[in-house]
Amino acid sequence: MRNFYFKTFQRDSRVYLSRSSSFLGPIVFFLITITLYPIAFGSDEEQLAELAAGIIWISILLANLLSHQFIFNEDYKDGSLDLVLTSGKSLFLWASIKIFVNWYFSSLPLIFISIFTSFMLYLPFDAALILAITLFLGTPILSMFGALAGALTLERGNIVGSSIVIPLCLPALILGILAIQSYKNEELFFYIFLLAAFLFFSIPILIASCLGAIKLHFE
Amino acid sequence: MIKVEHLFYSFNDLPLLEDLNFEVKSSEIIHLKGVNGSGKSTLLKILSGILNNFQGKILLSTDNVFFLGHNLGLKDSLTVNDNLLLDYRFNAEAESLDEACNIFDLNSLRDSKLFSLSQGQKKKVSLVQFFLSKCDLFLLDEPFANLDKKGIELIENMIIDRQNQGASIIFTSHEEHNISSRELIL
Repeated sequence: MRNFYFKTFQRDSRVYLSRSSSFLGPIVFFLITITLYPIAFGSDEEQLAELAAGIIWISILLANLLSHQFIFNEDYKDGSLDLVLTSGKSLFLWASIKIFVNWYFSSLPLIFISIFTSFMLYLPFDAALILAITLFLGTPILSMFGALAGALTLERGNIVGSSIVIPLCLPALILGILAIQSYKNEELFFYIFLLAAFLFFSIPILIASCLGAIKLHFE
Repeated sequence: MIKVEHLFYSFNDLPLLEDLNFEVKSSEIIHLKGVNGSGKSTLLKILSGILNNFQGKILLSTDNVFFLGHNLGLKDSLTVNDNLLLDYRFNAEAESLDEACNIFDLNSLRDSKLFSLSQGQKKKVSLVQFFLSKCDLFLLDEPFANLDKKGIELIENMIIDRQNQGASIIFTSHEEHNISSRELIL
């Protein structure tokens, strides 16, 4: 039987697919940003390879900012959130599904695209693999912080949300970049472990915080 | 069905609902009246569980509640069909959906995206949801707004149908409707 959670997943997925700007926007923004860096820094292979990890992670963080407003804001404005609150279902699971759908449509394509663009920045193949791992661990954290910012600023614009997200995402960004830069060293596993732990603890804490922030708007 | 005792609610430190006491029995239709800003929508939101920061006591004998607010909870970027099929409050079978859309003259619009519809047509989509939902308590905020005379009669009949099935209905409206068991004025 198609229940509440499955319908939430289906409904959100169709909303993303029907509104191409919500998932194409971050991709186009990411590609434009990535292409601008070599123009700005020149085509020196060594220099670009050294900066590649930072360039990709920062571009992904900025591209992600474009999609955070879609997580809860629309539901708040069109009254869907009211209906969810009257459903008596687990809001934690509902919010998790909404964040997952956002990650699936806005971050997952960027992970695959970033692997290809990493070669454009002369990132070695081994480092590109580590890049993919760090992005798989790190982008859900970015989505959850984005969701939290979106939940805190339901009645305000994306700029307020963005200014909240960027500082909060810095630890994930730093760990991701350090892991890629140390792809030849044993320290790599330490950074990957820290990033995985960050993700593991973020899930309950950040989703519960999102719900707390949403409830503030109903007081 | 519902028992409200000494309900107080303030918004931005201004008292909106003060010492409200009333009871709603099964199969009752309550017409909630009051001037703009008197707290009608707020009361419905409190009863539906959307707003929790009130003082007082509310006893509800069911958690099977249908809420229709000012914002209809519909997705503009989806089609009428998707909005109905992906509503969690009911599992619409093809036949019942056909019947409901036929009643509300929505069959020709089922593949249209919601943003291309008028306010009245959007309201009809949300009323199809009302038609398809089987709940014990219906809280309807301005269900007759944006509807033509035929639509208003249709909703009145639907409300009476729900009453005959044992459900309680509380609705807000500025117009007179002779379907209510009693009026509650805020």
